[in-house]
Order: sequence, then structure tokens, then C-alpha cells
Amino acid sequence: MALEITAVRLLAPWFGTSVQAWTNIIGLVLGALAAGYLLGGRLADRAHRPRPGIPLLAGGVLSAASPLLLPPLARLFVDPSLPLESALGAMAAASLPVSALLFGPAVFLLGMVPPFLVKAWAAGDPGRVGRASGMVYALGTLGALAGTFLPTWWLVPALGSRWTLFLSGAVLVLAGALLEAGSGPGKRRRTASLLLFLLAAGLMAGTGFTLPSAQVAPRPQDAKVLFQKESPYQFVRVLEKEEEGRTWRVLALNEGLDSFHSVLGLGMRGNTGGRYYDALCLAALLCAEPLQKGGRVLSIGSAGGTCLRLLEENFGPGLRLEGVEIDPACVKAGRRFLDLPPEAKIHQGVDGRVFTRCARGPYRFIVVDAYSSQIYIPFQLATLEFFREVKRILEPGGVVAVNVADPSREGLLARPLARTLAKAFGKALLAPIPESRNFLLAARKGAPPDPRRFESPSRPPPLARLGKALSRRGEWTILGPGKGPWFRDDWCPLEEATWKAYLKALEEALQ
Amino acid sequence: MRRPPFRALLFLVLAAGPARAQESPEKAEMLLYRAVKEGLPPGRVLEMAKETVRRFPGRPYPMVILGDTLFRIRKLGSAERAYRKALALMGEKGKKSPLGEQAARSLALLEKERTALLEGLTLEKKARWAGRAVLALLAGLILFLALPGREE
Repeated sequence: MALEITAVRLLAPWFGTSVQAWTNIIGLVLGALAAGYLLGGRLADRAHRPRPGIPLLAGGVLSAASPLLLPPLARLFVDPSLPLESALGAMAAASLPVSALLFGPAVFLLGMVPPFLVKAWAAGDPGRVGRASGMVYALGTLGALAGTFLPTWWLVPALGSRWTLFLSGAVLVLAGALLEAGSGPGKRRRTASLLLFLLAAGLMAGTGFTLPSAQVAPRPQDAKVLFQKESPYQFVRVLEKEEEGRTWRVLALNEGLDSFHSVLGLGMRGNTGGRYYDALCLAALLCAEPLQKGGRVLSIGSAGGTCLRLLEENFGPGLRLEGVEIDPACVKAGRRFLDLPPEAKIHQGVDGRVFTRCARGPYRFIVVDAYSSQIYIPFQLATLEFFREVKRILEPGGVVAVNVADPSREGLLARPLARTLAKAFGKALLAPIPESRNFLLAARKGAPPDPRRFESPSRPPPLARLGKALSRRGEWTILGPGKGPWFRDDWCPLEEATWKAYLKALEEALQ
Repeated sequence: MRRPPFRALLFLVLAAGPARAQESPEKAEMLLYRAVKEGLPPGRVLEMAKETVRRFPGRPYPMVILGDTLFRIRKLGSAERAYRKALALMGEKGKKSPLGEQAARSLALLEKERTALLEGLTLEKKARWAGRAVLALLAGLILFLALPGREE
């Protein structure tokens, strides 16, 4: 289990943690285990005195060395110069062959161990087979239990996935050595065991020395890495690059390639050069009470705090800024490198839905910009029930703005989501954000949103150009709830809709 | 998904020859913009863009749409040729005019996007084949090991 859990984390910077990646890794591990059990059973039957230490030693060395083998294998399928939407399909598909080559042999060898142990502990007595197999299953399951909790909550955040795998490998090698040492009498046998152990220890030492220089993630194109950390949730990096004659810092997660979750243009105030954050910030103009007068503001999925920073820069320091971010590493990166306002209160380690249910409000303006596995909005933050909870914590005339990444021209994802929002609020605004693959969704408590406000005299100067573009008739649509179906907690095919939108965009581009 | 009603309406309006009826360039551009956004067939967009470019020369937006569409429907094979054709239709020559440069940038981006998508698709195909091979190997191994051996 430790190998399985850590394998997902090790592959995350290259292939992400999408459902496909998880499925491929779990399926591969189960298949390799099945094959290992079968071969182990056969060999155990043939051997007079089986030696479970040998597959443990070999499996331990292979799993410890896997971080070294990953970069050359992954480079066969990942091109870091590609934009995310072009590489998504390849990354999802490649997680299977890469994990098979990387972890398949180790898991196969480890699968051979239980039949050997059953045979060794039963010691030729058919009357002891039941107890021996029970003991093997029980110990195996307890080991799996430790392998599930320790990497997630302690080892990976503290040591990183490379050293976690090394440590797991070292434990296996040690266990193998102990089993070999106690494998029975015979001088030749003891000498062979000693030689095997020395070989395994030598390989482990070599791996240990090389490991610090192993590549953890694809090297970013023309960018400097300012910060990187493996959190309990993901692989977090802050990159700095020169673009459009300016220095930009971005927060990139896992296999992000060119996509990012927070951005800061050094020396830039009040906008991000037309990126979707500006549109989210502009949606604050739809509030009945101007944000310049103050009020509570909440950003769900605040990451490095770009929206909160923009709101403060555009609407003044009178705002009470709050954010919800499940990953504390993103908040830390935001505070150190992305100018996340120090006075902003960030609720860390909490899911946005749980926070919304427990929050009291009232908030004047709420921004929802939460994503997992790059392109997916977590489904619990896109349902009618969620939007009703958001409405509950908004003050009368308060506004919610949602960022929807949807590259299809028709809004295959954004439209049904807007209708769901409209079902909760009565009416919702849907506007494609110029020069991006994102849509802005907004709704106001008590009255439909009025997009003409985007051009109101009170709009902050850094957002003036975008405000003018968005306020044009034809750029936005006000949608009602329609006839449904709406996304609900018990029916929310959000991932399917997201894939459809991406495939449609691909089709259009290749037309 | 239900088709946007605007699309049907746009077809009707187009059938009545509206581009000629639109006297202001802004209105013609808006119509063109809606045609692109609503996903009208590229052939139809191309005709509209040509008409708008002819009637209102010197406006960048219709020219860029014209170039993009020419490129997308692959009538000209490459973005560069599409760009030249679009400029020629506008009566402009060479890349030195601001409009020419703007069109060149737009089409270069389009070319880059297309190349990246094709490269991504090639990698995906390779990964899928490798995945299939791995699965076949694993299934074969399990089957081989599960079958009764000689000793049985």
C-alpha cells in the first residue's frame, strides 16, 4: 500500500492525480500482485524450503530505485513545452505504461512473498496451513494499514515521495535480510544469503547517493523554480518567468505545464494583464452595495490569493478578506511569493463545501475558483445544494462569481453550470472572458445581475478595459434556470461535461 | 445540448443578405463575431468575413477572422498562405503594415496551437498503444500462471 499510495504522488508532477491516473496505478498494482501470487504459489510448491527473503530484497531495491527510473520513462510521453490542454490525453494514458514499467516488477516480486511465507510457516504440516495463511493475511493487512496512513500524513509531507519510497524499500530489504538470515542451516546457503544482502545493500546505498539529484518534475520551460513542496494534497511549485516584457510569478500544481492557479505580475497593481482573475474581480461591481464601502469578501479555493490581492488593490483596504484553501502549502507559497495580503484570514485545510455549510456570513462578495486535477471543478462546489448554501451566507444584494474553465465555444460545461446557479438565485450571468478559455458566471441575491455595471464610473481604473469589453451587449447572457436537469449532489456529471468541452475544443481547433 | 436559438435566426438573416444591409462596420463586425461564436459552418463564416473585409477595408477584426477561417478550413494549407491571401483580399501587401503584423501574429498563434494539439495527439496514441501492450502482457502472464502446469 505504501508503494501504491506513494506511486501516485511520485507520478503526480508528470501525469497528475486524475481519476484515470489513480485507476491505472491501482489496476496495475492489483494485476501485478495477482501474477506474483500465482508464480509465488507455484514456486512455493516446488521448493522444499522456500526463501521469501529473496523477492523481498529484490522488490525493495526496485521500489527504492523507481524515482531514478521515472524521469527517462516519463519523458517518452510528456513534452513540457506543450500547453496543458494539448497534453492532457497523453498524460492520462501514459500513467499506465509508465507505472507498469516502474512499479510492476517490484509489486510482482512482492506478490510472490505471501505464498512462500505460508509454506514456510506451515512447515510441511497441513494442519497448520490455516493458521499460517491467517497470520500472513493479518500481518499483510496491518502492514498495508501502516502503508496507507504513514505516507499520506507523515512521510510524504516530511520527506517527499522519493525518500518515502526509498525508506519503504529499505524496510523491505531489511525484512528480506532477516528472513534470509533465519532461513535455515547450511554454510553455502548462509554465504549466498550474505552475498545477496550485500548486493542489495550496495544497490540501496548507490540509490541513496543518487536520489537527491533525481528529477522530481518536468523542467519548466524558460522559468525559474522559486519554491517547491510536496504537500499532503499535491506537488506545489512557484515559478518565475519573463513574458510580455514583465516578470511573472505563478503557482503551478502537479502536472500543470503551462497552467497555473495563482499569478502575480511584478510591479503590477490591480490587474493581471487581462487574465480571468480580473474578470472575477470585476464581478464585484455587480454588488448592490459598492465594495469600496467595505464588507466581507470570501474566496473559495483561494490558492496563492490572487483574487483576494486584486480585490484589496482595487476596492481599498476597508475590506475584510477571507479565503478557504484546502492545501496549506499553497497559502504558504502565496504569502512568501505571491503577495497574498497579510491581513487576509485564510481558513486552511478545509474543503470549500464544508466551510460554506458552517460559515455564518453575511458576505458581500464570494468568489468560487476551486479546481482539482487541473481542469475539474470539485463536484461538491458546483451543485444546486452548494449554490443554495452560498446564497444563504450572502447579504441581500451580495454577489457570487464563479470561474469556469471551458474551452468550448458553446460553453458545454459553463451553460449547465450557469443554469444550476440560476436555479438557486433566479438568474445568472454567463460571459466568456476575452482571450481566455474561461467563462465568468455570476449571480446576485435578490435581483438579477446587471452587466452594464461593468462600465460604471466606480469601476477601478486597472479593470477599465476589461469592464468595457465585458459590458458590451452580445458579450454576456443572462440565463434563467431553464428546464434542467441541474447539477445536484446525487447527480453531477461534471467530469464528463468537462471532457466533452475539451474534446469539442480540440475538434474545433483541428477542423 | 439544445442549439442556441440565435443560430437559426442568423441563418435566416444571412439568407436575406444582411451583410450588405449592415451599413456600419461595427454592426457588420458584431454579426461576424456572433457567427464565429455561435459556431456557424466555416464556409459561411468565410463568406461573411470576405464580404465584411471588402466593404470595410482597414478594419483588423474581419481580416483576422478571414485569415483564421481560411486557415481552419485548410483551403490554403498553411497559416502563412492564409495570411497572405487575407492581406491580398484587403489590398495590403507585405508584413510591414500594422494590420499585416497583427494578422501574422494571430495566425502564428493558431499554427502553434494546432501543432501542439497534433503533437499531444501523437503522444497520446503512443501512450495508448504502450498501455495496451502492458495490459496484454499482464493478462497473458496471469493466464499462463493460472493454467495447470505439467506437475498437475
